[in-house]
Amino acid sequence: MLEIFLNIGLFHYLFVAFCLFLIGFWGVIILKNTIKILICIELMMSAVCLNMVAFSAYNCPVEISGMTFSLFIMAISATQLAVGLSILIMLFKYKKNVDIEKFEDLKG
Amino acid sequence: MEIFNSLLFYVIAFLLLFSAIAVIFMPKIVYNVIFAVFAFLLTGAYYFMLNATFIGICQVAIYAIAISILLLFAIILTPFYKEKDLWITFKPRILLSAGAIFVIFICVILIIFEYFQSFDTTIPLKQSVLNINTINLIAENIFEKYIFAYETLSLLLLITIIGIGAIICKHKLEEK
Repeated sequence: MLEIFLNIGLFHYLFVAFCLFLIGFWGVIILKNTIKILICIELMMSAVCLNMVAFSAYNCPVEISGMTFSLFIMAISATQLAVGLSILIMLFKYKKNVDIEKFEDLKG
Repeated sequence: MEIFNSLLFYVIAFLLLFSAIAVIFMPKIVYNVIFAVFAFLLTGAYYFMLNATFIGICQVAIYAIAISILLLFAIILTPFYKEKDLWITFKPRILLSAGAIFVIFICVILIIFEYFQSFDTTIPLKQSVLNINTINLIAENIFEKYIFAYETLSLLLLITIIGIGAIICKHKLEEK
């Protein structure tokens, strides 16, 4: 039983990444500030990257597709943050607020 | 040495999850960004432990520095001082979402235990793995195997720059 805790394996990394993903997901649900929601999405993205790197380091260390794709994921997450923040700043000029519940013009 | 490594893993895991929870529950948004940077740096520490040094450096450079500067600029440009109203949503949603997330957690952990019973997942990293030079392998992967994905990504970055520039220019023209 003690060996499970002492030998750090793939499962431990997956567990930490899963907890990080769930915390980010919870933040996206309950927060109101749009900037905080974007930060939580970044946390989820970084959890996904951690998953990919852990899988590639443990399962196929010679052919490291997981690490390559985690680089791509980093670039895409930086892009989505930049686009989200620019949209937020444009919306702020009209609404004078960053509360996501005030941005309800497109509600059907 | 092994015990030291596992202790390091647990300390980093505790600090990482603590700072991720602090991102949600800190009332002021600047503290949020600081804790988020802390969480990104700790994730980078995991990459160094997994022998992914290049990914770790990219993590520190992109997430911990570039993204935090973007977020701080966004905070400067959106001044809103009644931060207490903006903290978190009303209570029933918090409790309901906490319950739902707990159920997801239990389900996924059970599925993982069921699925991973067939092979041992607690094998530590082999010493031969730690000697692989991952930077060369990543370069080969990017420029030979995934060259199409790489070029598409560069196109995406270009489109993003043009798009953000177009939004800002349009807004300035409307102001005039």
